[in-house]
Amino acid sequence: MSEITEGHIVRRFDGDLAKLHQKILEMGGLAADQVSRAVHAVIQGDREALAQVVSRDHLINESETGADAMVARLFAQRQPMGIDLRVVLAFSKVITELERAGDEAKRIAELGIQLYSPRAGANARALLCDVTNMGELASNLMRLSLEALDHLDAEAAANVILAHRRLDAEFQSCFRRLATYIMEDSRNVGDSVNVLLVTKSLERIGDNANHMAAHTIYMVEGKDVRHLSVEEMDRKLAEGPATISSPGTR
Amino acid sequence: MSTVMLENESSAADQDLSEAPAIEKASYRTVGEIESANPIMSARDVQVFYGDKHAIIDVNLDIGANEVVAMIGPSGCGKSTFLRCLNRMNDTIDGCRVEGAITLDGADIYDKRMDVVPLRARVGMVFQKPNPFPKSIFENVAYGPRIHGLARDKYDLDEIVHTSLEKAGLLNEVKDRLDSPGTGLSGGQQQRLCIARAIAVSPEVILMDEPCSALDPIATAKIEELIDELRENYTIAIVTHSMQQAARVSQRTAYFHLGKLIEVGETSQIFTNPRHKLTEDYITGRFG
Repeated sequence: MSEITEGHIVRRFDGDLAKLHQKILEMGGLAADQVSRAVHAVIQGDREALAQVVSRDHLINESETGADAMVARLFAQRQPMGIDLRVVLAFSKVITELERAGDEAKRIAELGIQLYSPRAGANARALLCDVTNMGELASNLMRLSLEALDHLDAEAAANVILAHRRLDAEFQSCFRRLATYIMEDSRNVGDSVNVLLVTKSLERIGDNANHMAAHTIYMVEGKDVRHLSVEEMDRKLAEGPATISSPGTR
Repeated sequence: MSTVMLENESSAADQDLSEAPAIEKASYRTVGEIESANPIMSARDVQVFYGDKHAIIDVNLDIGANEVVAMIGPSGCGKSTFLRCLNRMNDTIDGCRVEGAITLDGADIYDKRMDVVPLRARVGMVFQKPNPFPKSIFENVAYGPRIHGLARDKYDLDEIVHTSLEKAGLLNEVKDRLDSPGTGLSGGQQQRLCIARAIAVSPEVILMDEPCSALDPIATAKIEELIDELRENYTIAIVTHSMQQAARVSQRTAYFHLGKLIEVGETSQIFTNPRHKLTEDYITGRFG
């Protein structure tokens, strides 16, 4: 656990925060695993692995309710203030992001099962080439965002937000390609839409990673960088640290 | 600069103090906005000494109209001492010396021509422990208006007492027993009686020194609700050890540490995103 969340006179508060942090990292590991399994299985056409992703989603949901209960207990027992308040608030939001990322992984798996069903068109597998790159980008963003959260590292979190732009650009590019397939041959509509939905889910997973990174910056720096352009975020982060340790002189 | 004892004034006391160890003055700057858009009271370069102890060091702070300013900090940080400077309660302490300027509506309250009796009516005070006079509920509230000549006749006095008790949220509970002793009320009711007593002399500012520390949570909630209502007509400065209370009742919060005003700012900012490490360590319970 980072020193950011340690050093309370009531040492059990340190322990409570450490446990919550650990719980969220475990949930994050589970969500990241679901995402990479879904992406890998959809590319490989592994229907069994896809079904496993769907069946494992409840683990993330259970993690969410457990972590939420810890957050509620922390608010009730400790009434956190200052950085502790930001940490618990941000952790609470990260829990929601991870649960949503888990839902998107499940959706990707469900779409994959449809794409590899006997009723799917012959081109379905070919259309999935777009998923490879986006899947790798989304999985990476999720991993990097969790690392930033693990070390409570605002700089690493800012890099995630910067890298997220590539995934957005890739999604736009996929969207245009898939739209072209649909226009070329209307028989491609069903499979193209399913692949488009897979890429949309990957784009959302990137958003989840992006939001988690913004929450990490908020808890560490006390600066809300959500809804800012990368340039605006850089300017805001350059304004200096949230707290100063010694008063200036006159 | 008017002071109780001017800085350059040569007196025996000053001579004694000049031999005391030099204490670093004006060596820091408060973080945050010390000024208020519409200040009722302003403190500038305020220093307080108890003998050779420098209890308040170079404090600058405005208290704006119709706002509640909370003063927080560990024990002995000077928050109560500063509060007591605002209506010259420290004058009664032997060896206490106040320097700097504190103004009320632009007038220096430490000016030699300032009469402290009407000053303390304009800047009322509520203490940690409820301290009603050993008189009836009515007399507790009527005493101030009577000695300040605020009531023309008995009916006028009745009106003031009833209005004050109503504003203090106590009238409904005591209207049938105004002749009963004030000391017979519960702790929370006694504290509201003290607030009614302060209100009765039409103050501009009410100072509260840990007004809820001797009360249970329900009585505390009633006082906090009252503080919120009183803000419409009065300016309030409150010293509290409860950070949750400061967060609930105030618009601005000032953090004191070892006699210095370390940080002042919007209450929401102080409790979510304090700018000074000392403030953060205090509000997050990392030192006490």
